Amino acid sequence: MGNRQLLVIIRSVINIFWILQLILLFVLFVYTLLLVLNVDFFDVDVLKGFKIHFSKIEFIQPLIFNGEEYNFNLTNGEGRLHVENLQQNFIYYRLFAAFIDTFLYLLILYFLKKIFNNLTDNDYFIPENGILLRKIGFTIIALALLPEIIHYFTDLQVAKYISIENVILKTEFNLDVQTLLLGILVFVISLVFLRGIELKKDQELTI
Amino acid sequence: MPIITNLDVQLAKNKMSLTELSERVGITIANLSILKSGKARAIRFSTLELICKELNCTPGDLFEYSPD
Amino acid sequence: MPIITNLDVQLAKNKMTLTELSNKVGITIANLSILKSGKAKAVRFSTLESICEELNCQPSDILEYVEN
Repeated sequence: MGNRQLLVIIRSVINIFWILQLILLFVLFVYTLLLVLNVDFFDVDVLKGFKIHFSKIEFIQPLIFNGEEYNFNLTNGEGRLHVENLQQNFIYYRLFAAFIDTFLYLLILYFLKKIFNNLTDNDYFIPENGILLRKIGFTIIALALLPEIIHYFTDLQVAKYISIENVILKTEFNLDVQTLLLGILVFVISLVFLRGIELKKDQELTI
Repeated sequence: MPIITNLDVQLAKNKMSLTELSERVGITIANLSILKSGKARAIRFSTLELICKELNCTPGDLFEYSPD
Repeated sequence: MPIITNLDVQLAKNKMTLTELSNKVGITIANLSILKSGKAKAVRFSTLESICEELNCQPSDILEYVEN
């Protein structure tokens, strides 16, 4: 398979992701709108459940295994908490994090689309690609940090205002190390790329 | 850029055009234009030699340093 | 080589060593040595600029054209 064919295929995949993210953004928007308007035709309480993370849930009723009873608990999980008629804003914090997440993904895909447009135009070693790569690096770093920061503060609020017997809500900061490292990697690659372009320019402008 | 290129001055003194110089020293007009306009980042000594020889001048006539 | 560099002369006039110049202008000793010894094939204008600034001289003091 030629280099060019590969480029076209990857560009199509990026375009599909782009459309999917746009749909997701639209769904999030409609979802938020339904919540804010508190419409009758839709059971808003279904929407109002919001994600919680828990460290431990202990059960009073024992578990039965092969006719024998055992004490048991659930640890380190997440689920959707539905509370009837609760006037709370937790779900809006979660939605805000989701909006930022989607927005950052769209931004990365937008930069990628631009790079691939340049590549299919046979513009490989140009400063614009380096700058786009650097922006992608920054955006991936933001993607690793921003939504998690919002989740962390939401978790703190939830744990502060909601208490459930036998349930310990989790309020730890989950740093996404892999994504963070990926962002740093892309950033470093962009620096090397930009330096390479500078050297090439030096070479070309040595008369 | 505090290093000023006076290629245009030397060309005028010798009543020579960039095209003529290009033909005589065998450096493309594009490259000589870059040099003349001050967009060049570095100069090869071989180029400097050819230009100096052709225009009967010294490197000091071509380049000038003026502090900001 | 008809283009000769007089970096050593200018350094002597300023009572400066190559190491001192290297530290002041931020160009490696290796690169300055190449320039000083006449092994350089080209010179960056940025290098010329920082040397001129530091040694209080003109490009003509550093670069010279001598006919064969």
